[in-house]
Amino acid sequence: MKKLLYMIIGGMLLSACTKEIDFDFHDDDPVVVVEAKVTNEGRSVVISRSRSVSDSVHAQCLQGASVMISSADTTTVLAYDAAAGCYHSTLPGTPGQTYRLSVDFEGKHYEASATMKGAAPITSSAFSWIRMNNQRVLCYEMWADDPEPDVRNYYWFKMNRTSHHPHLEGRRQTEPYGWDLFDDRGCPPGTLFLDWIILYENTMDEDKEDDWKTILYDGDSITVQLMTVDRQAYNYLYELRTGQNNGANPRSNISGGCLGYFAAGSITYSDTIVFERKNIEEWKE
Amino acid sequence: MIVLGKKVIVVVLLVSSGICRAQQPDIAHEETLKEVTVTSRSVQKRVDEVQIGVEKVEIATLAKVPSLFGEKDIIKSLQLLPGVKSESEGSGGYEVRGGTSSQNLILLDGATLYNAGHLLGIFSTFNDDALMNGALYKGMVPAQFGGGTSSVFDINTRSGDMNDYHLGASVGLLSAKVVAEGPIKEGKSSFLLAGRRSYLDLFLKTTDDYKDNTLHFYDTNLRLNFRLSAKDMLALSFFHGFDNMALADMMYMKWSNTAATANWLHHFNDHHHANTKLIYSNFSTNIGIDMLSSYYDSKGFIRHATLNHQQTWQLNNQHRINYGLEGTLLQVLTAEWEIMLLHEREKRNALTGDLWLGDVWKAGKNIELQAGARLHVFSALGGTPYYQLDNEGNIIETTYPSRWHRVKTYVGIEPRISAKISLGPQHNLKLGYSRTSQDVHAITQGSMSMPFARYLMSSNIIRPEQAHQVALGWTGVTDEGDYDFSAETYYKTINHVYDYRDGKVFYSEIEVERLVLGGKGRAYGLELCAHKNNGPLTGWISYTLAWAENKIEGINGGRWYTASNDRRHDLSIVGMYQLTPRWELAAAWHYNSGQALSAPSAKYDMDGSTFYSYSERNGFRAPACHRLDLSATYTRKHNHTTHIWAFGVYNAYNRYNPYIIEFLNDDKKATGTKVQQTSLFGIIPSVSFTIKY
Repeated sequence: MKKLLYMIIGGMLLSACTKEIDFDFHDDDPVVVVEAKVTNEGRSVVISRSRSVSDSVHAQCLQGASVMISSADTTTVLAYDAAAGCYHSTLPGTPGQTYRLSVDFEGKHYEASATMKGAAPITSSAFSWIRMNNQRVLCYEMWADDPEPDVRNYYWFKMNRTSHHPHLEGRRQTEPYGWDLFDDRGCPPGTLFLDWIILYENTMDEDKEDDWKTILYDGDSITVQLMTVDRQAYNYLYELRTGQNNGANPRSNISGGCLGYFAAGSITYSDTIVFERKNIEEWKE
Repeated sequence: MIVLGKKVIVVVLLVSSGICRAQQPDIAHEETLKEVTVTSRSVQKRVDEVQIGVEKVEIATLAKVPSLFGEKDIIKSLQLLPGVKSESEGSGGYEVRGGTSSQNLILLDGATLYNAGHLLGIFSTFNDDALMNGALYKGMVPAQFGGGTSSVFDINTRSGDMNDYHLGASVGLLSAKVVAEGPIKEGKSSFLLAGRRSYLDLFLKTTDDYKDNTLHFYDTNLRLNFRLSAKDMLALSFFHGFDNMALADMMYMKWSNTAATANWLHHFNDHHHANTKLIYSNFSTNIGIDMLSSYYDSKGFIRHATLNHQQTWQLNNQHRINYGLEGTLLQVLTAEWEIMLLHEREKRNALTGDLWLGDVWKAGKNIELQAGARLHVFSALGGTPYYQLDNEGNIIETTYPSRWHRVKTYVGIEPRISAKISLGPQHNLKLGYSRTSQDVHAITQGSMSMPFARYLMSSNIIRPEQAHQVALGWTGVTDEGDYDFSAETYYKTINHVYDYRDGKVFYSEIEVERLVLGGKGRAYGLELCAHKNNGPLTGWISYTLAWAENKIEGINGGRWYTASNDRRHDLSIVGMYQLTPRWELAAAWHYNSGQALSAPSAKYDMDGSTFYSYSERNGFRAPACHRLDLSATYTRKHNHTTHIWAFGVYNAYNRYNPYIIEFLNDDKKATGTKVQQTSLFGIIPSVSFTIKY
């Protein structure tokens, strides 16, 4: 907040300045990254390596690993699926089950466990306008049913957009439009919700190149997914998010000295929204 | 559920030695102090000071230093002294000898203030019109002070004139000030009232876009002095500072400091007097959001109620002793929040007790000692839940001790000693050792202080911070006192410092002990200072060479790492030039080498996004900062009034210093990574007008 206030004051005086600077990075040796999920949609594991800070080539899933996910009932060996670009199985997970991940890769063993939570069906998902500083601001709100109203549960929210707008044509669109983590403390019984304030309408009007990634354009296809995660996965993702600005690495719930996480949870989706500014209504209680 | 993502942040963005010896200053000393503002006598006192590691602050001098927006700011001026650093450009937080700003104890007439800053630290809480003097003890502290492991800044308000009335008013770019003083009953009692209010909000109200927002602060000082008899004086002082910021009725931040002191001075005879103080202070915060379906409100406070009695006795030419006792009831509301339908609260109570004895002892012709010891007792009290935690911060047992039950007591003896060895009439060698402790811990997100930190007290889990410091120094003065010089070196260790566990933020859990990990720190350095005291040109040059490191289990693999406030070099050059009787010019140039910084050493892809990996905490350096500030003051005296125009230029050569450095993924670049520096202030002119009657 303090930084923000400084920037407000700085902005008022039109004296704040942002510029690109040169920086001498010290590179580390590559480290294995494991991204593993068990959901109601199946099981997937992506294995990759970290790379130099000045390497712009994005990682691909590495082949040659032995990957297993097991529970009290079943053990599934995940084979590499070239089409999916990961080690994959369509066998869904079951809420309440605890799953164990086992990965052997290049002579090293990595393992983790996670307990799968039940689904939180999304009941509403909509954009709206509110007024702030005499301008309209684009907001988003999602409501869902709480799978365990008496328990503090944790959620991983992602909004993806597919855009055919010329500004974004040809750009890599694998990155979610936005993602967040939250818990259900204080929510009305049996429900949970998330509010997002996205951007001022005049930012959309000005359409500066620096804002293209943030601006939603008419015709953009918006999908929202909500995944229940256990506390360990939530902690990992939370630390990942906060540590990016604070120079801290998240503590992986996977043993063996890799980066990444193992999450088990249920995913639900909202209906796809085709974004049209003119159709967005003012916010109502 | 409230989610404060980057987009919320986007919206928020748019919202919007004059002191008398080294004894506890008291009423008796004040009259002495008024005589010693800016003269060679203060120079000699500075050189002759027995206590090592102390900066005697002359408000009149510091107020001449050019300042941001023309707002005179003693805290910012303090940052130009050796061993004292700003947290960052424009910040009101100061760091002393490798400590953090939350390890500084700030006393106003004996009352403890927290976060003594307005607008989240851009301006200090202190209105120079109401102040008389201050002393900054850089960890080497006389026995009568306790509570800050890095430093004690002891500030005294000014007494009103007992014989004449005076009025003053000042209008600046951002705030206006008034001060009034005079006798209540001539020669018997006096008052001094000073107030300041910002009017940023008035500017906001003239705009269509921001008229519904709130952005203001005010502070007020009141001091009443009563001469009860030839041997008794009573001083009542009151301070209240308040900040209020709000984005319409959707987001708000408020915080305040209130302090009240009643000080009764009794002279037994010319050599022996006693001070009895009744002190109350309350620092409170409130922050909240009420927008869309989200509602979040969080409150906190730290309250001290203190009874302090001390006596100072000049036994003979060799010994001047100070002894006393103090008792405090301490209350800390670590947080009370409402998150939608959830209401949670954690408040803790404690009692502290202190006994001390100190002596300024002329042990020989060339040796003086200031030695003492402080017995400090801290008891965490029942009435609220206490916990046992596992290694991950999970609660494994909760107990509910009764209201006044002593849950945990810590007892410590804190020896303090300074020695001055005279090497001749103009040179002194000094050395010292000090042990200090602190019971209230501030846990901040990031390296900068802010009012909305989580505060916690020592408990069955949290131990008192303890610092040990040794220092060695030399002071010298030229024949006529035109110049004086000092050099000091120090080594400090500190135990039981606390920081957030990775991934935890202030609202993660109501039980604040679950959010933190403890560790230790060490700091060492060299401080050099030269003053020019006489002639039309006066000023000083100060240089600090410093190191600061921390070791906290769970951070940086449990290895020692560079503290985020580590900065190797700080250099300040301050000059004040009396051009004519009416015009006075001042300039301050400051340079500091780059702040410690964590930068990524690798990156990786996950879930379609690119993330950075860090191999070492604070293993890199930001670019160096430097800046020149200028001011010109025109003073004209009329029959009954004095008019003062003050013109200033902050950052005169428009240097864009690093404030934030970010590492951003950028697929358009060949390296895929962009390093972006945000600077806060370019060149900022200012003007203010003051009238005094």
